[in-house]
Amino acid sequence: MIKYIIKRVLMLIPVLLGISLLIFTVMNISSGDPARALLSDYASQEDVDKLREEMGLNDPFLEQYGRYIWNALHGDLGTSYQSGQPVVQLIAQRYPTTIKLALGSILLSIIFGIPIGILSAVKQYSLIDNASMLLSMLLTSTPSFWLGLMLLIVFSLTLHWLPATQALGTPTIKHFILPWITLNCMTFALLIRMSRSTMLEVIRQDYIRTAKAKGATDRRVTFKHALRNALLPIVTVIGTQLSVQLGGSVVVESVFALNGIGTMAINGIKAKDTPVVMAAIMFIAIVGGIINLLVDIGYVFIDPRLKSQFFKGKKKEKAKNAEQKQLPSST
Amino acid sequence: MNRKQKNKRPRSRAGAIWFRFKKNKLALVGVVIIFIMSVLAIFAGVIVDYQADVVEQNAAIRMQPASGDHILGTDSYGRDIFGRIVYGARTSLAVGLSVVGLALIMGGVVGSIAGYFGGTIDIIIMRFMDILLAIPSLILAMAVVSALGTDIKNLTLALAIAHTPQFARVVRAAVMPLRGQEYVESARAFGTKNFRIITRHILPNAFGPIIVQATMQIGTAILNISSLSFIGLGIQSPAPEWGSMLAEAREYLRYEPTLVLAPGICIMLAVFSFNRIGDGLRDALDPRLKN
Repeated sequence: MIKYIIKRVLMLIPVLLGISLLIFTVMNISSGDPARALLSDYASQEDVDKLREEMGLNDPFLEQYGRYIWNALHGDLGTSYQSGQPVVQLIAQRYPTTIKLALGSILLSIIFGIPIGILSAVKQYSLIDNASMLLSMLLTSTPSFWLGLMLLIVFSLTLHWLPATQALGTPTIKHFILPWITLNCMTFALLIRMSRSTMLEVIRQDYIRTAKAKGATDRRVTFKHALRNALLPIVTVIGTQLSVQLGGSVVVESVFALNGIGTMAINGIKAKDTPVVMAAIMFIAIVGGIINLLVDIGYVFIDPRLKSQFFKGKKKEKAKNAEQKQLPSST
Repeated sequence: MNRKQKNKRPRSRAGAIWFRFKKNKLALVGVVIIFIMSVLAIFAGVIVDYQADVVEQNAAIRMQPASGDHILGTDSYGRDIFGRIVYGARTSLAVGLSVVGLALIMGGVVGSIAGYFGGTIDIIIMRFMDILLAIPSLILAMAVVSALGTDIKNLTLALAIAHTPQFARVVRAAVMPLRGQEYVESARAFGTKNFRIITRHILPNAFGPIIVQATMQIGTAILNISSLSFIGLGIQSPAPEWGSMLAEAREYLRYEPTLVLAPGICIMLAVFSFNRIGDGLRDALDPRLKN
């Protein structure tokens, strides 16, 4: 098991290096001179050239990239071109907001999505089932920023129940409620669909009929026998959605003016602030990678059958499973 | 027609697909919505006057409610909302289709090479696709747009790059099992070139999952275009686009919240329709997948 975890962590390294090289290249071909941006339009060409030399912008591309990675490994992500603050400090200030946003909204969709999905499956083709399927279809088509604006209109501007945006200071729970609902809508919808379809599959199995025949109550059959077996694909969706939500938080943070990693990325991209953009995207990629790893480890606890694979070392089967797990994420 | 009704099952493949497709009522609704939107988009020039209604600002008639002259009212610059919605449909559909077309070509080439040849080529290509997939598509598109500059061509290219890995995966997954089929072996035995085997023998048989994925991706592409425009990195005002209309409406959220309605509903309808058509096609092309 530990061997497997170490292997997975090691596999993450080339992907992260690839991402960093890609983003570094993209930011490098972007037009605009960071030294010029730093100094303002009135600075003389001489000063700009001098600063370029100081910042190492005249060095060969690979040297610049190598230096960036070397420094990053030593905990130095550079300084922001815009504010002059160390990027590490910026990340430290902003990551709690993004993490809170993503975790809160995924929790919300788990609490509501899975029970609604189960209810839909148990009462297939009923009014509840049709209504929740339609809701799920509508929510997957709703642009999150629009939903956010609509929620703002209803709950902040009309009913005055919740604050519209965070003015100053640290955001409280009240500031997070609308962003959570907004960000959660896509995952919520997917979880309804996924729990419904896997539950429907499981309910038709022989062992469910056996359990019923032996006199187990409906409740016991649903939760003890069916749900445990339906949980695996559901957990996969939760895992992939968590990393998707980190990306989606970019838009939601912008709607609600939350100071998270997402708004940092947008501002960085608009200002061609390479160190900030690199750090923001790497943060999202690393957290996403860790989440996927945790989900894979989580499988073992949900489904003890998988444990044998780790101890007997059936690598082929494991690889096959991993491929199957990845499939739903492509949609 | 008569015979069809008697047998209830049409003989041709296209007929069979249509027979199954039309059972999905929501998919039919999707087709109708997209048809109406396309007609409006194509004849946008006939329906509204681009200069007078869509671009020109008119402070005298700012934020007017719906009336005979302006079916959906006017926006914060006194421009006709209906006109901007119609031209916005043109932008969204055109960019959405070109993004998916481009991504389909790029992902198709890469995916079929990976799936057909396998081995080291496959590993290298798919690792690179994994890297692209690990970056959220919206952020990747944002970075590319900022590098190339925000115009409609760059926006299309950026989103196409961001959508490529999904297609590469689907095409690869569809091509791989076909590689070992007997008819492919026999084509190879005849000395057919690899390129011809892929384009003539393999891809036509992998058509189903690819077309389903493409339809679904149009919806996602439309969502991404409007998200980028909403953030300010997509299509720039005064050019009409649903996302940038929402960004403008947001400034007046406190005073005129109804400005938010029309563009948002349009995005939702477009995405909803493409997703339902994709669903319907999936059920129609491969009935086994239906649950």
